[in-house]
Amino acid sequence: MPHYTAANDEAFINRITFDFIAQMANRLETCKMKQSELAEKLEVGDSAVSQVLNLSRMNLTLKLMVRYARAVGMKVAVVAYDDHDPNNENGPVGSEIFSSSWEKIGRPRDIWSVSEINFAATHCLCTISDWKLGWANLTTSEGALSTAMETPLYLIPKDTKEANTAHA
Amino acid sequence: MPFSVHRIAGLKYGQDRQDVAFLECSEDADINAKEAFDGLSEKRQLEMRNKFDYWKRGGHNDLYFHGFNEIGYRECFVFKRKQAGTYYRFYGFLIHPLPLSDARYRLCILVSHAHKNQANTDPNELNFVNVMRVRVDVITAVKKEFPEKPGGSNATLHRSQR
Repeated sequence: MPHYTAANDEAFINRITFDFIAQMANRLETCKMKQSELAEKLEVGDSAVSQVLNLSRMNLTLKLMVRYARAVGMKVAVVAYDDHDPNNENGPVGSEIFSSSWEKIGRPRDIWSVSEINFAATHCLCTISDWKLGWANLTTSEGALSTAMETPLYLIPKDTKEANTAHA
Repeated sequence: MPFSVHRIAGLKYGQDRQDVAFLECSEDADINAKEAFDGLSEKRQLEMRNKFDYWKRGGHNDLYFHGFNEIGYRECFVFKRKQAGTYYRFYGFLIHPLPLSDARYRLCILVSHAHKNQANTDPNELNFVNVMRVRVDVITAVKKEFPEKPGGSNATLHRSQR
């Protein structure tokens, strides 16, 4: 059976609107901001904010989403993505996945920064793949061989020919 | 008593680390979570499905659902809803139904439904859930609907293929 958001566009919109409102609710909690303070910032009544946070009102416009986000010190991105699920069998990917991934890679501000992060990650992995792990035969300052737990793990370069073959 | 566990239509099972399901028993009127859910309007069912789906995927939000820190109630869970000043609650318990094949997989089995005019939880609701949580025939019903997967401990690595 497909995910419930596959039933119609309304169900899908409802789910991603819920995601947005949950983010706002979480933000209020982490900022210790009361609903009444948010209402004051938005210049609306307390009940209007309560209706949104209690999910009684789900027909939020993009403009209203931006107003809510700005009022709690956040911004909004509209992200289209391809998760190789054209029939929506699995439902949408949560917005928190995108925001936490963005935070995890260092909050890049532009595409070049993302490319640099990608290059650094790929380059690092390639370099490490040319090395092999090994235990160093170390002695401590007292002369005794250190135990396995104390012995640092070293990266030992593979045979150059072997590394080149791997790349070829 | 004849207990049974029912999956919620429209939710994908086995895709995430945790899922939600209903406990049902025709001989106990207090086990009414499924009946209450089925009686909701389409709009309110959608609202609850959104909350279930959000929790399934690891979301945290005390406004919509939460567990309990008090000793004795740590396996209890509640999904919340507020409509026109009235608080509605789906109470349930957490269980790991696949200790052999997928030990970290967790279920929230919703048991009872309540509505009230104050936000605080009535301990009697949680006590009832706790009684259900440890009943052998309830656990058997859970395991019947969510049986161990073949493949032993390696099944954890292949959850997405279920």
